[in-house]
Amino acid sequence: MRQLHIAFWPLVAIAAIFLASGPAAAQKKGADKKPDPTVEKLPGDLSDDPEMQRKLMQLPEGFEIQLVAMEPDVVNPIQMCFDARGRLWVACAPRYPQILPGQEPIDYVVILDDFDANGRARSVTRYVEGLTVPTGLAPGNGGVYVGQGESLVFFDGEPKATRRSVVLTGFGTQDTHHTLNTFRWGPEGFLYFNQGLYIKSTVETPYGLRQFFGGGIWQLRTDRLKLEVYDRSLLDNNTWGHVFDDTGRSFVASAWPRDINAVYPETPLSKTNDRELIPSLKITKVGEGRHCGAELISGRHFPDELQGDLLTGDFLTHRVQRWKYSDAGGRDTFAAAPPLVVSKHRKFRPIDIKMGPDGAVYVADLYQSIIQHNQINFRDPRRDHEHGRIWRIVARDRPLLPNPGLTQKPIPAVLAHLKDPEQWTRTYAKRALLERDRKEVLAALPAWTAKLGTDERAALETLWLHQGLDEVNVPLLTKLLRAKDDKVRSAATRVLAAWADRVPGAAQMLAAQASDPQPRVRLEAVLASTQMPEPAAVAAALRALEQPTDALLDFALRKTVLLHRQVWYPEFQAGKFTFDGKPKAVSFALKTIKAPDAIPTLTQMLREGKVPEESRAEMLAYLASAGGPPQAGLVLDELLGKRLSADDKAHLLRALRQAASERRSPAPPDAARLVKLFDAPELAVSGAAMELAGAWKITPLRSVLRIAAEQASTRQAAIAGLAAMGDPEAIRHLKALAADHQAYPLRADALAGLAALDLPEASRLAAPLLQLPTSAKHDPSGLYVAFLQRAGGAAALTQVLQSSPPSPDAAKLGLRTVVNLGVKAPALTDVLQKAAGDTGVARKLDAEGMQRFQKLVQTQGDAARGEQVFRRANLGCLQCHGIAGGGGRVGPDLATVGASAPVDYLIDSILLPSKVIKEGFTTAHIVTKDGRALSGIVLRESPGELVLRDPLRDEIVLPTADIEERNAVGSLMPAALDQSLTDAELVDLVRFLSELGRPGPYALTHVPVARRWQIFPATSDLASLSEEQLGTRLHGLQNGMPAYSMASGELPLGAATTFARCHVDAAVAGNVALKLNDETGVKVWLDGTPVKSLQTIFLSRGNHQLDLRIDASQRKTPTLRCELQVPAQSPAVAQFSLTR
Amino acid sequence: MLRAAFLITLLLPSLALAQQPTALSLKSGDRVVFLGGGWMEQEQFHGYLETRLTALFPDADVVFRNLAWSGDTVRGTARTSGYQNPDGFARLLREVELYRPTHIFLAYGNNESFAGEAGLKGFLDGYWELLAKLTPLKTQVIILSPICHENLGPPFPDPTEHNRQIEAYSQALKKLAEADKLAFIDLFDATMAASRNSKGWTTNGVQPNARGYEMLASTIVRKLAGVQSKDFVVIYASGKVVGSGPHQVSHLKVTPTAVKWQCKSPVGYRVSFQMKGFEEGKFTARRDGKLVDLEPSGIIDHGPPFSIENNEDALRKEIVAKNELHYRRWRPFNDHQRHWGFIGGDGKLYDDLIAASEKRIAELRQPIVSQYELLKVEGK
Repeated sequence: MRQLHIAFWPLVAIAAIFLASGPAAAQKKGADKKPDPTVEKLPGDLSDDPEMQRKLMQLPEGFEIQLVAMEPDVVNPIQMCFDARGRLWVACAPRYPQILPGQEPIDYVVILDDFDANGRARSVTRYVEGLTVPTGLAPGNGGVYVGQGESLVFFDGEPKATRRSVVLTGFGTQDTHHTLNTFRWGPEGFLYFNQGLYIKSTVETPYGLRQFFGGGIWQLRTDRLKLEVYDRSLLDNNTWGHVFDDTGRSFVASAWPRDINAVYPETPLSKTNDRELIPSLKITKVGEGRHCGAELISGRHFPDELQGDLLTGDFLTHRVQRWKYSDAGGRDTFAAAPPLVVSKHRKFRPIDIKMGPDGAVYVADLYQSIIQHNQINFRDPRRDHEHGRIWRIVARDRPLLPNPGLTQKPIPAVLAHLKDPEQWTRTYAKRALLERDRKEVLAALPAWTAKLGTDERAALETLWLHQGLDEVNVPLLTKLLRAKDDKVRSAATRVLAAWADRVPGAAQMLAAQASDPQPRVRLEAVLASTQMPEPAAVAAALRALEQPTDALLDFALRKTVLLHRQVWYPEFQAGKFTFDGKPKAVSFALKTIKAPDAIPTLTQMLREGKVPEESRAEMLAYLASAGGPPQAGLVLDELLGKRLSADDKAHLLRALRQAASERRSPAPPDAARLVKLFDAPELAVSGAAMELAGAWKITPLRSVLRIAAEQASTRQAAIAGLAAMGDPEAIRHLKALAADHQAYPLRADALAGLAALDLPEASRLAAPLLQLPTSAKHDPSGLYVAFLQRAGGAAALTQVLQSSPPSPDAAKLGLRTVVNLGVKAPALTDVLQKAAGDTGVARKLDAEGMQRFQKLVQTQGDAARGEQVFRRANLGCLQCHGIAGGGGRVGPDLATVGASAPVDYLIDSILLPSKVIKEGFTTAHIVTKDGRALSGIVLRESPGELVLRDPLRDEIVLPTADIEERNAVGSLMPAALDQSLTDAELVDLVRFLSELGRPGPYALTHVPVARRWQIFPATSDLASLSEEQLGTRLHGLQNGMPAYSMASGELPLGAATTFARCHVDAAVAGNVALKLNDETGVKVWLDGTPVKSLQTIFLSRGNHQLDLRIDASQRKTPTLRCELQVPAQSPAVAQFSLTR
Repeated sequence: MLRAAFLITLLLPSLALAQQPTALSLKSGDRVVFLGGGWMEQEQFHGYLETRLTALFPDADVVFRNLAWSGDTVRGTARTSGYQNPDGFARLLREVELYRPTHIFLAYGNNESFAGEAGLKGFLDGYWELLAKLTPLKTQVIILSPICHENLGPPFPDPTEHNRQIEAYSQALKKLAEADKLAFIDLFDATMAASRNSKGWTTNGVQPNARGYEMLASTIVRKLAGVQSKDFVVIYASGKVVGSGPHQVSHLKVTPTAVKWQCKSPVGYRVSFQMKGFEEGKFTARRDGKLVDLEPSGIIDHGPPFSIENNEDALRKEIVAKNELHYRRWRPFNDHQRHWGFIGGDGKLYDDLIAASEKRIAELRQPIVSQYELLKVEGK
């Protein structure tokens, strides 16, 4: 059938599309000028009629969506915000994303008011006009704050703005979708707004310069223009949604990377950009997805079962997504729930969501077919500069709330609203009070406070009001620090931090919080200590070590110890400060600051057995990586003892090797006893020991390594050890191992080792090997890698291969290695292509050809066939690109590429990969001083180091000092990738990509499915083992073949038995269940132990390995789909690992 | 009654009034660059300083470019935006060199001053380094001291201590300028005086508002070119004209019932005429035929001078418009590697718009020539 279908392809017509532009193409252009209207007509309706658009929206039963405003009143709404009077202010940017030089600035802020029963705003006032791309706004203080380019501007006047003043300036403008956005009034009445990852801000304030480079959240006290960085933990994010929950905790929703994170105050870190002090996303992540705009459902208009749910704008998939909040086990999570709105209209782009004073949900709809601005030209005619919509979602049959009249009522009546169930009303009641006469509000507060009784939430609102008024109230604070509700205690702890310098005995109060039975209070206490630069506060924070810690608490402890090092360490050295004599606190603090003079103290503590058992391995690892020969000797003692697990031993050996190779740290005396570890039953240990022997240059062990190199299991490690020794004798051994009579794998590995030491000799010996036929066991890929990763390696290899060409198969594997490594080696590629019989020329498309090709994609493309093309090994797509995590991580994940990128962009990206490169995928080619050559995307860089990712390795850390040469290169994606595809295959591939993330079979789901696998061959020795034995064996297997599930989450299976492995990360321990599409013939082991029931699997905190045996002969289903479920009562927070 | 002697018509040749020696003189082809932190950056959007300098040299085609940057320090630390600028100082030098300035105003020190005494040495080292790098450009350097921190009262911070620090930075810069024989303008003292006289020349204590920029422009021009923004011209009944500043009086004609003259003034510079030696009487005044208010009573001679505004708004607005174009060209939105392909063509469009704006500036900067007439209404 497939053959037949392909035979129908209009081959001649397709061939004409791929013409280089020339006279013939020009003639044709003249003959057929009209663009084909079907090209743009992809699924989904494009009618601009709002009623038509409304009908294409699906809402759950009982809900209704209403049009509030539309063009010309609202065009390209970017952000909206209510004022205390209940009017909705909207920032509109018809010129988004970039004004053309000379164009009149026509962007504006509009106020919508007086909403009728159908939601329509009867009053529309253009408050201020003539703006240029306003990206955020917040009305308040009698006017409106607007984020516009580099400035925060305040406009005031009634009924329209008559005055303009620049409040603060110096914010970065590097990217219009990163400039000041997501304005929101906080619980204490401060103004919060965000900036995105490419922004570099240098803002002059009356308190000094505030610099912040990267993604984060600013906090501004508008009464005194005090500007601080509230959060810098999400440095690499575009956080376009920020909510405060009822107890003042922040949750932010990012568009990039796609996740929801909990955010903790970071204010004191405004003094540093130290990456060590930025929590990793992994430990603050509480949900998934890609978002713009966020709001928590709160108030009587919405049904009880939706209270506290998070709404976010999923602009890629045209929905208002709902997330169910849970804090089971003390851990916050947001799990995907059925969306509130799903639209089939392609221009519906919900990018801001706000609860209104009436209790309804308001949605700003950018109304665009193009949303990206990185890949698509700013002046692309398809960008819409004329439309925009504001919608309102109401619960049918539930009354809307009346406007509380916060700006009109007397102060005591406004205070009474602090007890209202609607967060909107409480927030704006505080704002309204902060804008009243301060003295009058202060005068009304005692009577109100006296009436609070046991209502802790209302008391917390009152405490925040005090904070906004800058009026310290110690009795109220003291009471709430010991509130019954642990979330209130947490919130009060933050206020303690803010008032620390004005509250007597603050450090003692903090100590009580750090010893709280609830982990979240302990965490807040430790975070609070970061704002209290005194030894007593550090000691108070470290009280938290007396109870179990988690990753975030551990991070916060390290942060406070590091931040206040100058305060406590000199006191400690002088003997004046002792952490109350608690060895746990002392060892934690000393290890954390990595003070060189602390190493002897720590070594001593370790020798005297003063280090708590659970910290022992970590302490040894620190000494292994930071210490000298005495510490290495101590670690070696422990390695040869029996106290450490195999995992710990392997970790320590790696740390020692790193210290030896990077810091040139010499071997300890009597290092040759390391040989005892060569016989360790665990390969991870014996292999690491052999590599360490090389790094330590223990030459007496050379011949032992030579013998180990001839054993299959230890071959690679032993050769690595010999190569690391690098002396003439070691080279002689390597040459002998690479001799013609040796087995293929041994030759290949020995040559790989030799390549690092003697390139001409290695390439001379490689040529005959590469002329041999290849097979699964005779694979020269590793040899190619060794050459390609040496400076001059590709050239040396090219030279010998020109006269002795490799076999066609070896050449093809070489080409694949070049592709997979992402290196540019044109001369070698030429030689290999000749040997493999490739042409190496990419297609060329002129404008007309592009249009016709798009039409073919639309009419003839088959996404399912396209996915098969995508998964072909020789294309290497999966090597670099994942789909929802299933695949490589060196290129952009493609899970939603179809929803965000137009078809012409997808085609260009395949044919001309370097034409446009997605943000965050800058590529660098590096040559190190010791002659290694590396290409990869720049993950991050600081003055001291550069971190790259290449297709083979997740993170390559390069000290800047080791870099000899650095060049920017285009895309890592190889050019002419399409040349191995037929035209029909290319059309299918594009169709597949264009469907990814769009409604239909390739829509993005938030269901956790295993997508990253390792496959192990079903060797005969495994068949004879018992279940228990098999579990142990499987657990120890290493270096499986990477495999990835299809977009649907299904892993294709072979005909025979398959051993497959995936990993699960559990942030909070608890029971989970595995749901398989077909359990027949499947046996599962968790960390080597057989799983009795897939319905109840207990996961402790940390990473876990799942090994599966799948007997395909018993199954009817040719695929395996494995879903992770958390039972309703379980506190577990777990997900399939995206990194392993 | 006017004295008979003044029946003589005094046809004065175009009289250039005595001017103080100017430290700054601009001619066609000169290029002026402003460098510094936030207050100098924002000056371009108010435009007072550039307007006053432009009007003072109406015949000179001078290119003014403001390259100041909010949050910048003398080491160019704020200029690392836009992905190809890992080193802000290198960018600063590269961009200054691009304009080959003949004159350069340096307005650094406000940001550094927050570091207090501890930061002073580093600041001066940085300043010396910048001056050394500018030396090959053979440009006239004008050092501006940091401006003071205005006390706006609570809840804004009390700037007393900060001002002590700024003063130390200002004094150190003065010494540095003396050592290197460079022009130095003390804006600290001037702004402290302004703060004492009337509050509200800044928006937040550190960022001047329109009034603040007008005051700063007046101070700089007065100190640099010896020109007051408001200058007196005294016209004696004898026909003598005494005055200072950039105003040129000619065609003076005195009769018993009328005094007529012509005055040519730079745009934006107010002129005040004081009549001396005339017999008392009530007069009406006209400028280019239109009545001028003669406060308080229309009586001249012993009365106060009367002031004439030479409105600069049109010129200033055009200068601001030109600056906005240059700013957007120099620091465009989306200044990001991945967007260059989309906005690369904007540079040429901006250049054309800037050139057109500079043509309009050349017209608008021409001096204002007015005919004045005092007519006697009644005798003593």
